[in-house]
Amino acid sequence: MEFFDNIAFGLSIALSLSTLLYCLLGVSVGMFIGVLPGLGPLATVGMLLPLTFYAPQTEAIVMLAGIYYGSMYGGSTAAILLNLPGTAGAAVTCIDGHPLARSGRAGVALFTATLSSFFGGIFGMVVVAAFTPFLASVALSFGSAEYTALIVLGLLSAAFVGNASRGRSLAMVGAGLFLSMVGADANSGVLRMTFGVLDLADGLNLVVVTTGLFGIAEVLANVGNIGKRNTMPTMIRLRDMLPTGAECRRMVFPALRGSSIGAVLGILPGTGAALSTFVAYAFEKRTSKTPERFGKGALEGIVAPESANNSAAQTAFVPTLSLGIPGDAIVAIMLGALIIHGIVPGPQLIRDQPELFWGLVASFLVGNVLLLFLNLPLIGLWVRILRIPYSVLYPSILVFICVGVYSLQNSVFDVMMATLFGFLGYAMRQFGFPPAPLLLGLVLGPLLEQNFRRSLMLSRGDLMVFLERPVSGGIIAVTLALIALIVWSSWRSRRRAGAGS
Amino acid sequence: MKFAAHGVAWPDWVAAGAMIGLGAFGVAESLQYGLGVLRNIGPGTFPLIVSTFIFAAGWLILVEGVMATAPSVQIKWAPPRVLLFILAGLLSFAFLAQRFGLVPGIFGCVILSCMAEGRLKWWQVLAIAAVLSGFSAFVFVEILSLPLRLVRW
Repeated sequence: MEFFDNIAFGLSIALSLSTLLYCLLGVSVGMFIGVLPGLGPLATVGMLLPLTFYAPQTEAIVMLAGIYYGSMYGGSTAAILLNLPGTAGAAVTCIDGHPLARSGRAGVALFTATLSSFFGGIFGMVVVAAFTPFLASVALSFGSAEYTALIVLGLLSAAFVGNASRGRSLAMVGAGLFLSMVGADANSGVLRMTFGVLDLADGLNLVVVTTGLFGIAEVLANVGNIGKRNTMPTMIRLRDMLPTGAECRRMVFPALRGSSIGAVLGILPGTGAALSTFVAYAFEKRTSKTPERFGKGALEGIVAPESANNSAAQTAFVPTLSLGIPGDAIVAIMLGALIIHGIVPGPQLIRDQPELFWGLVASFLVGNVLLLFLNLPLIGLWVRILRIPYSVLYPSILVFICVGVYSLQNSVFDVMMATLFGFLGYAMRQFGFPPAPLLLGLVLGPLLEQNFRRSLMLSRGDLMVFLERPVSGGIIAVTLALIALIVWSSWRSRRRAGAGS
Repeated sequence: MKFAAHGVAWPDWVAAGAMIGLGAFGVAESLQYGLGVLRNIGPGTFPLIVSTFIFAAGWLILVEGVMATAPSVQIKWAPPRVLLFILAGLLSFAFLAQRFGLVPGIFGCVILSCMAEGRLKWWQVLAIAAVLSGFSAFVFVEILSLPLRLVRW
């Protein structure tokens, strides 16, 4: 079996001492920032990106990925114990997790969340291992027209599926594309949108924008708001964590459904882990025979979203590693890391860098097992970490952002830009603009422009090239169908609302 | 604030206005870069498309605002003290790190940003700064041997 040979090959890399250490470091950091409310995986991956420039490429990606899916495990801890989501992907877990904790069954809730996360993670890993090589082999025949169409589809789906207003999300995609143009044009060398500032000629650094928009803006929003709580979580013993046999049996199908929903939404470019939890929870509640139990401590209400977000955190790598198009904003930053390491993400990646791809996939397996151990026997440690006050945490976050950004090129200008983006991002959030689509636009902007230009050059200026090529035309048809669906559903819900009032 | 003109809440006006403005500005900018021809598009074409897109999205925000039955966002700014001291902390790092090295930068950033909340005692603030300095020195300078100066005068 070629599949198992590949996994075995990957494990030989993932279990080497150095990769294993980076993996352990990644999942521990991920768990840590996941547990702590007010520090998410996006800001962390952005902050730690400069550090990975000095690590070997496979190890660097293994560590960054570990932070991402590790934070999905950690996010549920604060959600269950404090009714405060540690990460955006754990907001739904509060709904049923916290009532369980209040009725004295916090241990069972934590155990369920960990086990569901593990199940979702392994499910997602299998999907990545099976589906990515297939998608990459299909994508080998893709030309620049197909890429242009795919990127447009990815950007629009990122804007359409979130909870924010469509207009605002679309505007943020546009703003991201706009920011991606800052600096010298790759083809002509013309300086665009630099306003005579020489420091901008190289373009905006991804680390600067990410740490500003997600790190500093988050601190501004949270200082004085987190940490006023007076209820401290009690200690939990492993003995109190085991659910009953009947409860275990009830978890199987929600876990499968949640993982599947997460896998699909993870693969779709632009939609990520946080969204998948909402969809999985809503789906579980709708298919349940006893929907009235939801919100009062139903274990299914923990199983479905927790397996979904972990599954999505893994499958987000499918489009990234097969097409070079990131599945969500966090993976978009990792794509930036790959490019910095001189790796061209695209359909050739699996063939050219098999040790990177299979090593990463096998590290998902290793990392999920490590997280299982980090979570179950060591749960007391993470509960203690929850007691770190935000007053201590936020100056530390700011220092790490400053040092990380400054270390990029010893540039004060970069620190000032991160500050600017921090305040800009804070203001944007106040007015309801979602920041994640902006990041996706920023990463995909240069790819989109280059492929768009190349398509037109190859077709000698014929715009029909995007419609005449079957795959590209098909993707555009899907894009148009998506737009039609959105317009239709919002029109219908408006009519319903009108009829109801 | 309950200002709503033409049935559109004021945050929607601001949001739409900002995007329409950005789009219009982008269109004007991109026209200066040269559009080229379709078979070899110039540096201005892509910015023109993107800016037009942002411009249109701005109008869409306005349309959504007109159609909305409930306010889309609740604006609640952080106290000025928070905004001011976080800004001061970040800028003090930028200023001090370049002239006096990383450690003074970290102390400046921690001391000023802690004042945003003002909940810690002064020795706690100094302890955080010292721990973070030690950690940064260890990770960035010792392990990664980055060309960062810890202290200079």
